[in-house]
Amino acid sequence: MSTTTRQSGTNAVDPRRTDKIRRFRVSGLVFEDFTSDYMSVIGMLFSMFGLMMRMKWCAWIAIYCSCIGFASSRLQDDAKQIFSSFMLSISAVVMSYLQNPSPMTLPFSA
Amino acid sequence: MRVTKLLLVLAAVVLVVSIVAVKCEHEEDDFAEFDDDFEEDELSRARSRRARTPSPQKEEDLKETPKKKPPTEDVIEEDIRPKDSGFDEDDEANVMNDEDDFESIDDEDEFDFDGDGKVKREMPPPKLTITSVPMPMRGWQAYWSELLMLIGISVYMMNYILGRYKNQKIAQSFFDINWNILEDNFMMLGDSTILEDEQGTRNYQKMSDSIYQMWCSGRVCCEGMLVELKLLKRQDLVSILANMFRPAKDVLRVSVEMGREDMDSVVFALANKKAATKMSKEYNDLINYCPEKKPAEKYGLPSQFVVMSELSEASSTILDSKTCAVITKFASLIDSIHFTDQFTGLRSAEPETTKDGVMKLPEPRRFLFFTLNLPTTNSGNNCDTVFEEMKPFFQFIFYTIDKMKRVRLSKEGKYKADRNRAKVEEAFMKQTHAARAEAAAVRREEKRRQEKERILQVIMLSETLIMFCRLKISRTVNF
Repeated sequence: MSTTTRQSGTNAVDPRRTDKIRRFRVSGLVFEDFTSDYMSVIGMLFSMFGLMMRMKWCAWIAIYCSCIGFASSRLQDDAKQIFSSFMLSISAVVMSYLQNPSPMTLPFSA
Repeated sequence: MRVTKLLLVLAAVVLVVSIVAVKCEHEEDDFAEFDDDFEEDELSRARSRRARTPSPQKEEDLKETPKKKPPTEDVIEEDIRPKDSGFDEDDEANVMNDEDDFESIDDEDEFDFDGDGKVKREMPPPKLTITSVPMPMRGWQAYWSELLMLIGISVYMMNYILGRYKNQKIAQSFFDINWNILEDNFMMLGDSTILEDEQGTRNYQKMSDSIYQMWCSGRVCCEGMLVELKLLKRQDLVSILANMFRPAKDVLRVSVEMGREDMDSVVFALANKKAATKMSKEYNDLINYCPEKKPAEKYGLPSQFVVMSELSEASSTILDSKTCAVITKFASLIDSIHFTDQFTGLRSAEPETTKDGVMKLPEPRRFLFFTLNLPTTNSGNNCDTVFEEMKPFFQFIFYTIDKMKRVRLSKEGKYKADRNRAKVEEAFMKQTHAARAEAAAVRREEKRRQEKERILQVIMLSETLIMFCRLKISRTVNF
């Protein structure tokens, strides 16, 4: 390994070496964020409740959970899962209103 | 993954229980509904039967029925009025209607037969007109909650676009400002998928809308450096609201991986008190080698910091005057500085196992970790200023990399360090002794079973050969 001078003209040693190039290996210290996974599960749960129990507010919350899961998703995550979560929540809302077009009643209202 | 599996199982159980509960409630209601509507249903069925079976009517009959109707109506009126003089007109009309409803059933004329034997039908079928009711019946103002929900979703989406753009701008600003110093120190910037490519991608990698990283390699004294930017989730409105109650900051983490010859046996950490508490519980190497925390004032550093070190001579060598000056200058930014040759990950991580399912001693790696809390605002407007002021810290990182190559323990220090590592390894072996013994017994049993099978196969083969030979001999003898 021969030391070379910098192109800027200083006398400092160039620390760059071609033979020291290494591929990236995960260190085991990663910024983990499971919000996307939790939100997709919770979104699916609320969609199911909205469809089966005919609770419109559950279906609306499912849409919000899908949105939060989408915003927190990593690029490595499968896009199909996020898409299916969205579709499920939207279908829950649509089906609830087709069955009963009346306005939504909030859970704690009289 | 375990948590999500547990959640899924719990969700399935809750769903089944709720469905059973709802079904039980509805059973009674269904029967109750039938009881209430029974009479009405009978009436409607009778009407529909009449409507379905129209009898052939002659013109005479048709002419007759209108004539006949008034007299019967008159008769009814005469009958009712004197009796029900106390009734209102509406009640009278209802009574009349009721009688009209049943009139068709009780009316004898309906079932008059001609000489031909055909059924005459006097009453014309009732005309039913279904009025079209426009939707919505209640008016759009009744759907205020749905409107609120839609507005909320649109606001969330607008915030997502804006937040994503802000984070992108911060990351771009960071890598643009520090590009020159990284280019001067590393041959390859950005991990390349092609090994022969020495240039790399020359761009940072976006892991998510709030996490950006870049791997740099090709330098003396280290294997490579990973620069990670973990920004606030500005694209998630819920996180922004949560940040109001529990403030957080953008984090910069620089992880420098060192080679075997680049670093001696050193485990050292300097962190602010909150981070030190967390690290001492989570990091395996600090748990094993640095059980004690010493105040940083002993080394002339601000009081907010705490030092955790395996050997005091290592911490004295690392914390020279220049290092202390930089740490004091950037005290508000530094979250932790961690040098280790025994990095094996976090305690919460799943341990590595061998083929037999026994825990394996993890391979330690050498790292220098620098974690900084960036004072960027929520909008990210001051990011350029912050990153410009941080440039000297990057130069300090490269100074430390070069210095660690020169840091060498004394004989006594080296002996102590090696003894500590041997102790940790021995403790790990004791912990897994039972599991390893069981795995060895299972392997021995497996070997014996395989040998037995082989012997049995050989015996079977030889027996079949003998039988075949005997058959052959007996045939030739008979022949």
